[in-house]
Amino acid sequence: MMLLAAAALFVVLVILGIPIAMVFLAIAGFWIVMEPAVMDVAVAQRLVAGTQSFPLLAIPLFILAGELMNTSGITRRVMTFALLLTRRLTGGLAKTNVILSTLLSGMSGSANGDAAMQSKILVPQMTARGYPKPYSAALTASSALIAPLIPPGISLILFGFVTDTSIGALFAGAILPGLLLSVVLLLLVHVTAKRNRWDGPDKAPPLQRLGPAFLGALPAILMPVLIIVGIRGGIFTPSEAGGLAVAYTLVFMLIYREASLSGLLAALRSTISTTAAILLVLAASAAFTWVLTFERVPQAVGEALLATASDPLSMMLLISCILLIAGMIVEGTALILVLAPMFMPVATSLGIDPVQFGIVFVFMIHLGGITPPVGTVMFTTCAITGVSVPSFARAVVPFIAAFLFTAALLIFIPSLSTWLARF
Amino acid sequence: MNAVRALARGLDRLVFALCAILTIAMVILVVVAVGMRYVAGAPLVYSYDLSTLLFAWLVFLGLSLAERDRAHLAVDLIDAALPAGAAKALRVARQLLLVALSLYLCWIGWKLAQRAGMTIPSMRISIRWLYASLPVGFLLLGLSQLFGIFAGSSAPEQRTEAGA
Amino acid sequence: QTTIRFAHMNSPTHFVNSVGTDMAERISERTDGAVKVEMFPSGQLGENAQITEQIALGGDLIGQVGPGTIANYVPDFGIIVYPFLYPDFDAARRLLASDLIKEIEAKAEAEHNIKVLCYFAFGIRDLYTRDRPVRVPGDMAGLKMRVQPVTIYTEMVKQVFGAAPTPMPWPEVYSALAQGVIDAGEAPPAAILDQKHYEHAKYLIRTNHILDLSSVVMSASLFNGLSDENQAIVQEEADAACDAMSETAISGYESQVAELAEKGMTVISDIDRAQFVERAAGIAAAFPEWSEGLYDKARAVIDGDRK
Ligand code: NA
Ligand code: NA
Repeated sequence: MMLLAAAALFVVLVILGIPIAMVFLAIAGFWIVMEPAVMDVAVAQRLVAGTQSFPLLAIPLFILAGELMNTSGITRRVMTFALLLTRRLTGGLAKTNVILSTLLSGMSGSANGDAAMQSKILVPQMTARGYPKPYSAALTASSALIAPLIPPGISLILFGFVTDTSIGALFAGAILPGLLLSVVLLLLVHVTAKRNRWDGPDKAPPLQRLGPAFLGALPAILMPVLIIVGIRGGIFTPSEAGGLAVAYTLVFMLIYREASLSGLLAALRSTISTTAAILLVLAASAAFTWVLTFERVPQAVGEALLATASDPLSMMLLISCILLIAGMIVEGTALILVLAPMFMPVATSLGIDPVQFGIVFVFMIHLGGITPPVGTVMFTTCAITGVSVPSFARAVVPFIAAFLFTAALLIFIPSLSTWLARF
Repeated sequence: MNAVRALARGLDRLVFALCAILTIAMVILVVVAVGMRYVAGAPLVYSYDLSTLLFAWLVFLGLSLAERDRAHLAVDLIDAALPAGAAKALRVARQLLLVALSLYLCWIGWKLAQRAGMTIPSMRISIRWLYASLPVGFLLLGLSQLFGIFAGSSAPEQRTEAGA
Repeated sequence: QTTIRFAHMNSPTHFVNSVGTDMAERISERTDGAVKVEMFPSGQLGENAQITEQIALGGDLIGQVGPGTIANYVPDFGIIVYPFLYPDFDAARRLLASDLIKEIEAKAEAEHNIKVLCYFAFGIRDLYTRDRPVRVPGDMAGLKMRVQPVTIYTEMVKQVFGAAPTPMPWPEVYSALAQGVIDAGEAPPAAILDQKHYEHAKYLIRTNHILDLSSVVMSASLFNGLSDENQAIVQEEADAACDAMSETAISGYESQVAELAEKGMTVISDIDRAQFVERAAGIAAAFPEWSEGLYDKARAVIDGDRK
């Protein structure tokens, strides 16, 4: 009864546009009033406790590193390199979009950050070269989903945090799936551009040689390698890697001397706002989940899942479908925080590898970011490019098909996710 | 009206300055901890607890900045679907509900800080130093939400990028 | 009907959870369902410090938490897990039953709503090193040793082992050992097995440096609200549960040491324990918040029978 009332309240508040974290807290408050055993001070304690973990420090640190990368001039150099790399290909600029996301994902942990940046700098150029704007927006949003997969990725940190899975192993395991997604998108772009005769090869002599351009992009390309080797080698923890990533970008900022004080302040401001917003969702869901656990809801959900599917493969498919549908409505971060601790014991009890499960989980909830009606990456891209949600929705369909294809590969071939995590 | 805006802006600047200091302190603390482990062979025992304490203050103080930057993750489909007048009424009602919720959270956070009796062992300070971040942060968030009613409507274009 | 939530941080298959489940069933049976106990393993309701805090704030809980956590409220509790304090488990029983400890418990109950139901041996902690045999404190010179970031442990490493304390989260220890970021660690043998640390540590030294006593605690207001009859039932069943858990932990210890030897660790038993015990006396100085002469009083209780 209580549960049904809470679920109804949840839907109503989300639709009214209450921020998702405040919806969680409102429901926790509802429970405090209705059930005397749930103490208000205990909910307050969970809210603070939700922020009290050293691995979570990695989140602001990696966001700051990503922001500074744009300010420092690293992004501009990577872009020059990506453009040179694809200029002789059909659909060169669309491929640049994918390659840029892949190369920069080693410094950016969030799909939204990647989508916002490329919506600003690449979509106008693509429009000028004759790509339909909804297509450019859909491509930018879709390729942005590579960013959270190639380390560092904030979703992977959060998943590791709430399920007690090694963040280093998740980072290592997600590299191949990230690259696989990149290749699948490149193939899709190639076929589409060829068929529509968009953006033919550039025959003019290049303005810059590939070698020096590669050197300019190298700091960004090396970043995930340094992070993975450092964490997996036991040299530093994920949070410390975040601190070192900030220091690393600061070094290049000093070398390139392109950053201004106002740029630095803007990077700090954006880091703080984004961190506070993400961590409030995390802390609120910690309080919310605590209330649910107190009332033994996750235990019941786990039993129901196990009763529905009893072998690893059908469980993976079942959970993926749940995540796909939930991801269309609820924001991804909240899904990781609430559902991952509920689903993880079920998955491991069937012998599913925690790393593979984590990567498929993170992959599926990010897919929700580009699907209507609710998708944060979609909103970001549409807002900046001025494409309407319905035309975005039509253009994004082939990309969603490509994602589902990649997801199927990840589900049916566990070693794609687990192979690199073994080292 | 202008006075309210000036007050909102002043408060925002002050909180941003505090958060910027906290962020920089955290970066330094984390990097120094690695250095101490390798160079001196003896890391600071309290570095974990101190950095998570700073982090809590960063997060809860940052809430009001995120509110001003419209970075809190929400679904704003209904606003676009409603006629302008109704959307405005909904927005004011929503902000008022949020202010009430923030003040309630400020209140229970205050109660927790009042009643908590634990000592943080590594630093030998009361856990109240940690819990105080909750009432302070939600009080500032409530103010920021209240100021938001006067600031007028802003289109979704002004929403800054947030989320993972 | 009263519902008590029993929270702890161990996995659902750990003996604390299985013994706790048995206890819950018997309490429900003996009180005719008037007192119901539900298990919340795996830190579902929070970590030890937070569970203890929820109890202190008046939550209807039972928790399995170490005396080190309760020491955050009443510092004197720290003495219970003092390194090299007990020659054997009987000595620990003597101290726990003494007036010295009863007074400390009364303070926790009156001032912080924390009622200790019973104590049990959670594990016996030993030292292990990558490649250095250790028999006397001096053998540890120059080594980096992983510790929990807790004063009693860092002081023990500094003062007793003479090594450099390196605080580090538990899941990171395996790769730190593999890489030589640390040279030594300390844990109960069960944990060394569980995390496969034996793959990168050659020596297990049976220092038995800390008898890891833990306790089952309950919200005092909840306990006092029960009928006298039900209070007695809860107390009796908790005592029985603690005895069962102690037995599981102690009987498991020897077989786990044997298993580590089988996995290739060299087990060293002939340490000069007296030298370690003597050095350990200095740790008390790091706790100015303890009552005057607490360590000497505890030593007197423990040594009493043998003199
Ligand atoms: Na892109
Ligand atoms: Na990334």
